[in-house]
Amino acid sequence: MMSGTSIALGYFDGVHLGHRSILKQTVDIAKGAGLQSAAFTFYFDTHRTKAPDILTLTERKRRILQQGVAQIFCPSFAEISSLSPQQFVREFLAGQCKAKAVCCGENFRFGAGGAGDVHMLQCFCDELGIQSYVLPLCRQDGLSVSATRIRSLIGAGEIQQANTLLGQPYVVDLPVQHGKQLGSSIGFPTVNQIYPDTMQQPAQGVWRTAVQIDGVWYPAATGIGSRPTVNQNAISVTCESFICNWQGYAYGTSPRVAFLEYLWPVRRYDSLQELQQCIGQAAQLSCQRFDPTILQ
Amino acid sequence: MNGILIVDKPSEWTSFDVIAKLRGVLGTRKIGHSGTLDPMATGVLPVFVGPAARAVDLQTDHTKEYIAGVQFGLATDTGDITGTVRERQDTVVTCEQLQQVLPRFLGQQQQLPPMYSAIKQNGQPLYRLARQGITVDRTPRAITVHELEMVSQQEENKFVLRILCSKGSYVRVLLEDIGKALGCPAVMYSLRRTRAGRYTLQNAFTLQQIVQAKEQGKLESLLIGVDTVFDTLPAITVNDRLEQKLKNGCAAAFCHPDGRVRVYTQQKMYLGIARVTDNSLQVEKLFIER
Repeated sequence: MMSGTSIALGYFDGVHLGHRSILKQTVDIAKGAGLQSAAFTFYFDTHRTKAPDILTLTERKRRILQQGVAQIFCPSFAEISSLSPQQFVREFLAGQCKAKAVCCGENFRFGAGGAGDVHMLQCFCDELGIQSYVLPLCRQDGLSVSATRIRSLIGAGEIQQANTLLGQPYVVDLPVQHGKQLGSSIGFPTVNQIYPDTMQQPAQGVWRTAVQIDGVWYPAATGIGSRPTVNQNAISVTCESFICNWQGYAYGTSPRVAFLEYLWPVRRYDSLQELQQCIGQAAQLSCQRFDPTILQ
Repeated sequence: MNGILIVDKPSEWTSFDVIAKLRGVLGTRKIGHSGTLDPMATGVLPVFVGPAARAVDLQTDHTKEYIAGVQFGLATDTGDITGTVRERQDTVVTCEQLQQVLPRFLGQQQQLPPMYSAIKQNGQPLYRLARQGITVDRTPRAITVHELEMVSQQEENKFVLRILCSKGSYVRVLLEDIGKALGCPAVMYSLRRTRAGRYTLQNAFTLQQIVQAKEQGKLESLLIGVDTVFDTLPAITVNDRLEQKLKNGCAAAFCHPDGRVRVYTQQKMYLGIARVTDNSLQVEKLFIER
């Protein structure tokens, strides 16, 4: 029953308020025109041309689908980066995705070298009988909502504002690392994840967080710190979480960690052990302030 | 050592204390920096090491971003809380009042530099006069505030703001001016620089991390290539013969559209920037160790 698709176009890192208005418009258009709603995004498998990601690809896709979109087209950057703007519209959007309507923000770029802009998009779509909708940038507190702004806020620990702009709490789902659990040496187990440098790193220090295991959210305390590595890089950024009222094995999974409040920056002479003592205090606060209704 | 090291400056150190410490740690005197921070401030302090130091003045992006804490009802001589209190006022500034006033400070504007600054007048930095209690006339400077948002409220009269502004902007003066618009004194109680040009906190390392990396023999891995300063320019690769000609300062035939380019060797090492004019390539600046 393929009558064609109504596609939201973008990278959609963060799936923030601006992205949500584009996705909502796309879903509304689909309903009105009897089309299948869809979203286009992409990922970098090798050479990266963008600033660090706010969300992992799985989290990005999860949030896009949560906005009511039925399907996601997600090629690798390599698959689309050599298409000219015209080829992108004709071969990819019309040909592969069966687009009958497209919707994007006014700063959307596409095609090799980002040569295509919304004016070119509208031209090529008109030629093919595809409806195009371009939305102005979403604004909050007088400023446009952007991934750059959100990345800065996360990196500086200003998570309440970041979460407001994201539309829901900032969450990372990274694979749990085995071993080197300093937590177990001081009596309580911690779940250890590593931030790749392709992702935006939260401010270092102790955070009030929540962790989702097997579909259930638990209050937690997380330490973001840096650790000497065994490979050629000097530093890796680690995310070590103590999950309240939970015992079990997390190795081999990628539990979602939601960042709710930045409690204490790392002090100048913090050792990893001092950091972990703070985690105990943070865990108490986390239990007291736990509100699962804000977590999705 | 050749590259750019982004330092997360610690509080209570001057920017020059940081450079002095790095001279020892990095084992070289050849260090340039890009935009000092007040002793009280923390955050992104780009340091250019070795041949990369020549690129400090060639940067094109000088935008700065800060997360600043402002307290209303108090003013000091320096504009930040390390100074002597000069004025107190019993007021309460609400969230709404502040939000209403902020848009006035967006865009291009004139800003009067503070007496407590390193700006030189008649060969002397102004702070030297300020410490003697002297105030002199200063010329207002054109600055641009690109973005200004209230990020959170910490306590009564204490708010955290995010500011994206042009080079040469004084955040403490902006905060005092916001206070004036609200009819009360204002003082900056915290300042963290989250961006300087194209470098953010994500790229930054604390002095502790830098020293630790040195102990492990991994200092090089912290450096960012100086070619990143020029990454808006197209990149070209030259073979050994061309590389030699360029290093000797000779022009070489090279088929490429006119303009400046980043030059790499076949071994993917960055040489420097050059200019192509009528299919002739000539070096403008090299960034290699001799």
